[in-house]
Amino acid sequence: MTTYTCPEGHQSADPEWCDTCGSPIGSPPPFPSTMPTATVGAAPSPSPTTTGAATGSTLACSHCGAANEPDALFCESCGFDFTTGQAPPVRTPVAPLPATAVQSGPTDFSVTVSVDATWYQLQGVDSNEPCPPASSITLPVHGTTVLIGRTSTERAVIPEVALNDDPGVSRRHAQLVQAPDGAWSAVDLGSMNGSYVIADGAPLTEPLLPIEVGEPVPLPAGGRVYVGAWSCIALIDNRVPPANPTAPLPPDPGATT
Amino acid sequence: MATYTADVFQNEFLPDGSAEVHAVVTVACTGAGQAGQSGAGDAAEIILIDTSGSMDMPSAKMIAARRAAHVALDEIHDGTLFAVVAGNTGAQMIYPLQPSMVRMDAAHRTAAQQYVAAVRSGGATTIGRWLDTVRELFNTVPAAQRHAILLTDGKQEHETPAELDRAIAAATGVFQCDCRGVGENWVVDQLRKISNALLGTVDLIATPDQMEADFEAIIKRSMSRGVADARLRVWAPAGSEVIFVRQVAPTVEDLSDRAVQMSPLIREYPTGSWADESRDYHVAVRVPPAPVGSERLAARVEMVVNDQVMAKGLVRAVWSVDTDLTTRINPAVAHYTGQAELADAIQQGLAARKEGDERTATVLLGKAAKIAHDGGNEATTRLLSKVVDIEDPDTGTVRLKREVATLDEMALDTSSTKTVRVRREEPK
Repeated sequence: MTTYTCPEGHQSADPEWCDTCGSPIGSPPPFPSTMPTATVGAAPSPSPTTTGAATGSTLACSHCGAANEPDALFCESCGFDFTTGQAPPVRTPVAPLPATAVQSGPTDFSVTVSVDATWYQLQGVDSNEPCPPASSITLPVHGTTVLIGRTSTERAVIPEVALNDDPGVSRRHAQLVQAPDGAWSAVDLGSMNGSYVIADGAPLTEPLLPIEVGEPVPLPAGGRVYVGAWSCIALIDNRVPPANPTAPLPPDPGATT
Repeated sequence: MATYTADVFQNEFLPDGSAEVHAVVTVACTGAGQAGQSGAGDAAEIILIDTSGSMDMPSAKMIAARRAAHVALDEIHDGTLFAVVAGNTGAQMIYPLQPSMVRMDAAHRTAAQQYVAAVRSGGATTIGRWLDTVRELFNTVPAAQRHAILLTDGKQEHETPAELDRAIAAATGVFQCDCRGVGENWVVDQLRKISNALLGTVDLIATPDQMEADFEAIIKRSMSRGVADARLRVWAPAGSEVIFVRQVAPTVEDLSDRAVQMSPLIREYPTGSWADESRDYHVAVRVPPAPVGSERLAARVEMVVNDQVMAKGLVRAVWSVDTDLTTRINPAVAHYTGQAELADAIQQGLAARKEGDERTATVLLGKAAKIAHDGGNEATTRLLSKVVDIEDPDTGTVRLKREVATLDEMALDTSSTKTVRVRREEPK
């Protein structure tokens, strides 16, 4: 009976998947575990030996299956990144930057995070926490995603918008995502209390429905995402000429704070 | 010759360090043929009717049971081994007269129907002893496919729960059993325990006049099951752990306890006999995490008939740092996770209500109302609304009703495990 040897060295009767460990047979062994994992979009290692995964003369792409040069950093066919294992990048208008990178000069987009008293009245009063005084902060947006959540060092969750004081926010709560065409949308990542999107300048009124988990909802500039007990995140397009002021928060006659 | 297909629905992308893989596998069977005709062996059918004294209160129950058994005998195919048994303080043969099974033909059918018409009621409800008698009868014949209908209107009172458990354990793997309760004096949990172990269904017959149609449907379904015995075989890699294997459609049933370890990496789960039908299974496996970029087979799910693999589905795991990929939840997995939670919430909510714990009952039945509403279980929502006032299905706000008909509560309980199918996208 024919047996096959899997990349881990097990003998397998199944020609495609190892009978013991489930590794694909005939594809390269896993990448060295010392590879960077946390920095999405980090520059690939300059050393071509990091891929050292080629069997024979070609390197099979684990994303699309195409054969590549053994020392390739990216798949020629689909653009799969062999170093980080990141799926083919969508055509990004700006070079991806590590989240922590400091970019000088204004960015195209920013988000204004504020304590919203109206939202607190609708959603947060049940939390038994007093609403903090009104405040807001504007953060520049680097790259094409903005994670909204609470910082957790144990789980290595470091959101760009860290709402660490809001008890109603999940660690990985929601994400703002920019599509290749530049349009933004908001995605709920399976949060406990849901995310609520008001895409236009409409005021906050009941009834409100949370957005579907995992379903991107279009978020044009000026749109707001409400999460947790009192947090409001508004997307601002800095390229808009000053004629249209950047404050996307609607006039809110009901709020007295 | 029956043919099987298996389609896998999953999001194979896992974030770095994650290990839990979930998939829904849809298994469909076509060309099953008819029971006892597929060459796998004979089919055997036993009709077990409760004839305890309570069946005559009101007498409509006993009259309906006789008519239902009559119709059921009409539906049993010629050549099928059969018997009709009366359950009371013990279990008595109705037909044939001696404890044995006979091959159905026109003469036996007429004779059996005459004896059924003469059945009188009296005695107690001893379900454990009835199951023992049915098992012994089945063991007198070399049939490959054994199916029974159990009809009762009362609960186990003259035997201890341990006696019933022992009888269920002895019957497991010997025959399949569909259980039906008529009226409101039987216990849903008791019959569900039997039908779960014996790979059957449990349902409420609210009024006696529905019995005839129900029996006809059960026997028709049983006779259309041309595949005598199929098993779900699950392979998972070394170092992994099968968290659960659950049937999720047409009903929710946890199969994890039924696992038979075939080898260190392979388990088999008996699924009983099959007609032309499709069933969905939710498989969850914890695999050893692998570096980002690598791919593993997380589970191989196969349908096995007579040790032959009829269909195969592959559950994969691919580790990635792309959050667009790893944060997606497969709609089928999400839907059936909700359906299993729905069944739990209803059963525990009703139990809490019975114990007078109104707070827990309100929370759980409210959760059930929300899931049923979100998942489009209109039938369940309708049944729920007879037990609670649903004020807002979107948030799961409900109020317990003061007066609830016992039958409404039982109808909700028995139907709690019935699921609705997820809307399908094309399999990849």
